[in-house]
Order: sequence, then structure tokens, then C-alpha cells
Amino acid sequence: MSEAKPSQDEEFREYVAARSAALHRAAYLLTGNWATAEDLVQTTLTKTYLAWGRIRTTDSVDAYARRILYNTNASWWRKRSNREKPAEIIDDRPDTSRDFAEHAAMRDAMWKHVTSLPKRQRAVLVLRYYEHRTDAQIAEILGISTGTVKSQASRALAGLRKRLGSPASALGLSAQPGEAA
Amino acid sequence: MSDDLEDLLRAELAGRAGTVSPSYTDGLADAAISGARRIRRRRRVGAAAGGLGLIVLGAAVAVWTPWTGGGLTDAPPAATSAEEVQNELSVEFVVERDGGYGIVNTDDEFIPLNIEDEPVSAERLQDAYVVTGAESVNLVTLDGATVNPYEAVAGDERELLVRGDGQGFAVSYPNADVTRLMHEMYPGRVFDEPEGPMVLDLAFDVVLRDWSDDVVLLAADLSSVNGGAAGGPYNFNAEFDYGLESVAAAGYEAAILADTSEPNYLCVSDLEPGNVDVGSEQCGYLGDDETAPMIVEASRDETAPDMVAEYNDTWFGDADGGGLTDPGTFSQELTVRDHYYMDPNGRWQLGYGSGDQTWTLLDTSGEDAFVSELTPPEGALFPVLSHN
Repeated sequence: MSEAKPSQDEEFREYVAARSAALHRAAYLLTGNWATAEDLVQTTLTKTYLAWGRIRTTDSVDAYARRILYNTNASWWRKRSNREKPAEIIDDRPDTSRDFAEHAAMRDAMWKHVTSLPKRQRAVLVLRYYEHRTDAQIAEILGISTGTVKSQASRALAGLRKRLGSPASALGLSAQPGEAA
Repeated sequence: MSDDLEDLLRAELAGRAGTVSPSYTDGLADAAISGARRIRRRRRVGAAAGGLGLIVLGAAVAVWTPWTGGGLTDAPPAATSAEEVQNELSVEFVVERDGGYGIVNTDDEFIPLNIEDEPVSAERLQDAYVVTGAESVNLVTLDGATVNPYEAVAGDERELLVRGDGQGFAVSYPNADVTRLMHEMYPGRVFDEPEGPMVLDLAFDVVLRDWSDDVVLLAADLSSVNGGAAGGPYNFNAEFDYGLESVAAAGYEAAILADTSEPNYLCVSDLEPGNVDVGSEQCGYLGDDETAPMIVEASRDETAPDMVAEYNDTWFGDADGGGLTDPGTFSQELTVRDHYYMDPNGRWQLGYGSGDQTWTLLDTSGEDAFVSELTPPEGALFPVLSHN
């Protein structure tokens, strides 16, 4: 029944000011577009405020918000996710060009593949490769086992590898002598 | 090769995240605070109304031509007495009288509530009232003579869901680490010596929608994983750690996973009550010849397919048209009052401010909705939400 006191509201505003940009970036990587990301962040912050009285004095405010962000995204109905831009069909052939345009195309194809992944796999990739979380931390945030984290990551990377061929060698990023003329 | 791919992925994700700035950040906190406060108010409506409310009112159009959207207080609606809403809409009220709390039922009888907390919500089941306080959840007989008090997590953390047939209720809340959702499953009858609830320990990904004595219906995102394919076996529980082991441990014969995006698509986990060794799931579409028998065989509950059909009707409605129909600007105005309640059976909505002598009533029991000013019973605090 009681509402939070003004001082709690001020603390919450300070937290939002400090962390909303980071939440937005993670939300964008999870959803694939900024409009949905903004909805996701707004929902996350609303849920965070609901628990603010309990979590505000702990060290885990940001961890709590992260859990809410990822779990809300995982549970959102397709009615929302339909607003995301669908991934386009990607050419399975490995690209052997080195020039910038083709490098950009490779990156673009990688991003499209990421946005087409099931939400759980995408979340694991974002947490591991963007937020640089350990598998144990990812498991804690997503509420799954570390085994599931590993299997989801492995599956997502296998899909990427299949679609992009051997991108590093294709792009010459780790070219061996005599390789990739 | 894998390291190269992972390096590329790191670079790509960092680049994507860093290239575009959010289009807005101002007002985020205030919007969240306002939204949270609305949620706290609406929680009193009850979880069932949360799923049903907008849908059941989809066809209702408020008949109140003088009102032009400037706020309810500008309008001169007709008067309605407490007796009228008690008789015609079966509304009951929680009241405070002579320093105690009670329920004024449809016969205008005062049913005392012998509970420790100040009541903050009340729901009418088939055979009892569920009355919540800040720290407790109480099951009270319809005559108020017997109370089963249960300890509960703090009010802001919990959600209360009433079983579709009004024969039980669940209290849901996140665990201490906020990694799982716990669902305490309570009976709808008052016992002389009540036992503690059975607890379901489920992933955030699955939403408790309904249950019977034999089967639990959960909503989950299935089709985006397997494309909505019929047959099986599938391993959603093993893969996503849904927690169906706790459903089996609680004594249920089956868990039905209803898809959140494909109408009628579902998967069934045939459980062995008490055995937490949960196997795979079989999937299909309700309406296909083999699906309903599959559900009944697993759950041993002849009514289980109806439960899924009810979920589909409630959640998907008319899919692309009448499902989540805008209930009208008037209804939206009601929701932002200090106090807002909606009948789970869709017959009425009430909105009022703290200290108001009259409450605004939207009567949606007929083809057209009518607005009036209700004079509540003496000492009325809020209405009881009825699921019977």
C-alpha cells in the first residue's frame, strides 16, 4: 500500500541516470532494435523499482536489474518480438574477400544471424561476448545451469560457423603465409 | 578457428552496441516509478483479472455521452446504491467497522475477518475468501468462523493467482536470488489443521496459468524454439530447466506447456507424481485428433483439454482483432485512479480516490457499459474480487 519515500525515489533516479545507457545497449543486442530495447529497459526499470525498497541497500542492484532485463526478454510474448526486424536469408557460402565492403558484409551477416537466434542463445552470446561474463555468472543471471549455458553457446557458435564458414581466415584476420591470396 | 570467430563476435557486439545511442533517457526513472505504482494498485485486481480484464471488456463501450475525456470528476453520472451493486452485480466489500475488519456480502451480512494484518485484498473462491495482508495470506470460511492463516512474503513481492475453477489459489514470488519463481499452491478449502502448501520451483520462462488437482498448465515460448512442430520427443524441461520436477514432486500427473505465440500449440509432460525423474515432452495442436486424448491420458483429467482451450480463448482471443481490444478511454481513465478494481468475471470496474465518498462504477454486465457514482457501504475499503 505504501509508496516509496522521496529519498528512495532520488536514489532510484540516480541509479537510472548512471546505468540506463548500459542497460539500453544490452537490451539492443538482445532485441535487435532500439524501439523494443527501450520498451524492455522501461519494463526492467519498472520491475526494479517495485523491488527497490528491498534491494536498494544491497550490492546487487545492478545484478538484479540485469536478471530482470534478460528474463523479461526471454519471457516476452511474440506479440512484442514480432516488432523486431526479421533476419534475412544469409548466403551460406564463406566469403573469401578481404576488402572493407566485404568485411562489413560479413559483420552484417554475423549480426543478422545473432538477431535470428532463439532468445536464450542470443542472451548467452550477449552475456559472454559483450558483457564478458563467466559461464557461472551467465547461469546465475539466466537461472539455468552452466551446462545449459555451454550447450547454448556451443549451439549458437556452431550455427554461426556454419553460416559464415571460417570468417577469420576468410577475412584475413589470422592469415597464414600463403593462405588466402 | 573458434577463437577467431569469438573475437569477431566480441567486436561485432561491441560495435553494434556502441554505434547507436538510445533515443531517450530523460524521464525513464519517473516513468518507471509511475508504472510501478500503477502495478501496485492493479495488483489488487488479482492475477486472473490481469489475464482476463481487457479481453472480457473488449466489446463493452461506455455509454456516457457528456464525458469528453477530460477526467471522470467532470462528469455528472447517475447514482448507484450499495444495495444495487450487491444485488445486481454480486459485489461484496471489505469494510472497517468498530475497529475491526469484515466483509459485507451480497445479503448485506457483516462477516468478521479475524486476521492479524490489515487486509489489502480479498478474493472470493468457491468455498472461501482469500484475504491478504502485508505479511499474511488468510483463507477464511464464507461465514468468517474459521481462518487458515499462512505466512507469506511481503506484499510487493508476491502475486496471487486464483485457480480457474475457484477451487484453489497460488502465491507466486521470486526466490532470494531472483533466479526462479516460486509458486505456493494452496487448497481452496479451510481445514481444521491446514498443512503447508506444495511449492513449484519454476523458471521465469514459464508462467503459471491454471491448474487442477491433477495437472498444471504453464505458458512458455515453445514454437520459437522448435518451430511449432507436432510430435516429439522434445526436451524443453531438460534444455531450459523449467522445473517440472517440482510439479511432479507436488503430486501432479502432468504438466501442459501452452505456447505463448501459436494458438492451440502445446507440449505435454507426462509426470509420475512424486518421481522427480522427468522425461521428455510430446507436442501437438489442440484440435488435432490425437492431442486431447494425449492430454487426458497424461493428466488423467478429462477436463484438462478444456483448461487449455480456456487459456487459448483468454490469451489469444480473436487473435488479430478482438483479442486485446482497447476497452475504451473511459476504462483507461479508471485505471489511473488511486484505487482501481476489475471484476474477474467482467461485470464491473471500480475506481476511486483515497477518501472519496463515492466510487465511480463502470457496469459492464450488459451489452453496453454504464457509468455511475456508487455510494459504498459504511466503512468500505475495497471490493472483493469474486471467482465463483
